[in-house]
Amino acid sequence: MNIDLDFSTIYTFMFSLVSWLLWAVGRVLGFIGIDEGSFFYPIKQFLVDPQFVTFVSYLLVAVIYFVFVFLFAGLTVIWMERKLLGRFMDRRGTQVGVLGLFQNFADGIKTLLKEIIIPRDADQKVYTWAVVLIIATSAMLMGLVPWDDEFYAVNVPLALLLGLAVFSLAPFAILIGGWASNNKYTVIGGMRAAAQLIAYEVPMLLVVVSLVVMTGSLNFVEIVNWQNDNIILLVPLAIGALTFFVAGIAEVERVPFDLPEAEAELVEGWQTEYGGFRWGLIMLCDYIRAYIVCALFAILFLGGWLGPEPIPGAVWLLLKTFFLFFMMVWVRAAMVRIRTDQILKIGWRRLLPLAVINLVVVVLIKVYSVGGW
Amino acid sequence: MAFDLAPITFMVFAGLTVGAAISVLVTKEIVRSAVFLAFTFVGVAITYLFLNSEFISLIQILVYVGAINVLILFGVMLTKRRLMGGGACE
Repeated sequence: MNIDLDFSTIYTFMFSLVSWLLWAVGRVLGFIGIDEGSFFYPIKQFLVDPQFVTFVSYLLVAVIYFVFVFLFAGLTVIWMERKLLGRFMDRRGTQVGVLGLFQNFADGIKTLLKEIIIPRDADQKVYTWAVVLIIATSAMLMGLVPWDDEFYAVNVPLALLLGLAVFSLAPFAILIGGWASNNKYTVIGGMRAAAQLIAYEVPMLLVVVSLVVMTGSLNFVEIVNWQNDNIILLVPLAIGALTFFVAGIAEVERVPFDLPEAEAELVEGWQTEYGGFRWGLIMLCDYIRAYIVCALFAILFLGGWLGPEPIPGAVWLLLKTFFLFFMMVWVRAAMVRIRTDQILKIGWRRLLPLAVINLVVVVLIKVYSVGGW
Repeated sequence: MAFDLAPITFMVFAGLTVGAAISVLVTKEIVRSAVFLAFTFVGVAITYLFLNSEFISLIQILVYVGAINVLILFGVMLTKRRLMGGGACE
């Protein structure tokens, strides 16, 4: 495999740190007496092998990303939604701790303390692995989003396609999870959710196709550099940006497309039988996916980390992302939940033509524009 | 002390793919067969990765796991006479 991973700043830093740590471990081993001629000497040699050091530094970067995902992105987004919804409804929102910042930790501890209940006739293995699949795909998507042109976890040439491929694993996991609970209503809910997700992936992919026609690349960094050279993509791709935003709201199952987990009338849809910390992780992954969709929109249409100089690029990206999530919460506060036939109608009969029109517009711009396009 | 991991990893993933493909046939529960089919498709995508064709492997995951497999599951669940091990669910 000839995948050249370029080393961003985070990797070089972690690599130096890990080599220093392993060197210290080698010193300790030498102090105990494991040295040339000892039986355990190959272990010491293995510890300072550059491949092993690289592996450990990758592992640590992955751990850092995971912690960042769950503590920063997920919890911040949940806190934002609670406070903003409160303000939209003319109340104060949660007030646990300072500004309600401790509410998420309280909820997490509460879900951790719940009893783990698996339905008696459930398919135990599939029941567990569906949740694992959802969590894994969400965390993997998180590693794809760069914060800056030199601060990222991976920078593969096909990053955008990889993200959409990982996104498309969600309906499969949802169907499996709904079926494994051994309950008619969770099966029906899983099928409803999967139909919605598949319907809205099509316009999303078409918008991404138009974006590739415009910029000639599937890599986030190159797309943002193109926007830096020319213009942010929101201007030529306005229709596509609207389509992408609506389809993204539907992909992460938020109000107005909240039908897969309607708390009030359908009891949580496909995750009815999930309880305790599994349910908490599923909800957390929903919010992480919402964060990822906002970050993707910010990178693809709003120029990502481009902005005036004194504020660093990563902060610009986070500001744009949180502004987009504020828009999502605004939509949630203003809209109602719509029926399943209306969801499918909007997806297939409104958004799909809009995405095709957007593609036509982009091709016309590409063909007839003069100058630096 | 450099060791080439590529053949070993390829053999591991190829073995997993073949094992998942055999499990599709021998599993009693038909929805589990669909799950193993998804594992088979992912294994094929990993094989494409070993052949240095990342694009086709991503398209494999996007189309086969994300769409074809869900289609198969829809077909199974819409025509199934009984849920797992229980009574008939009319």
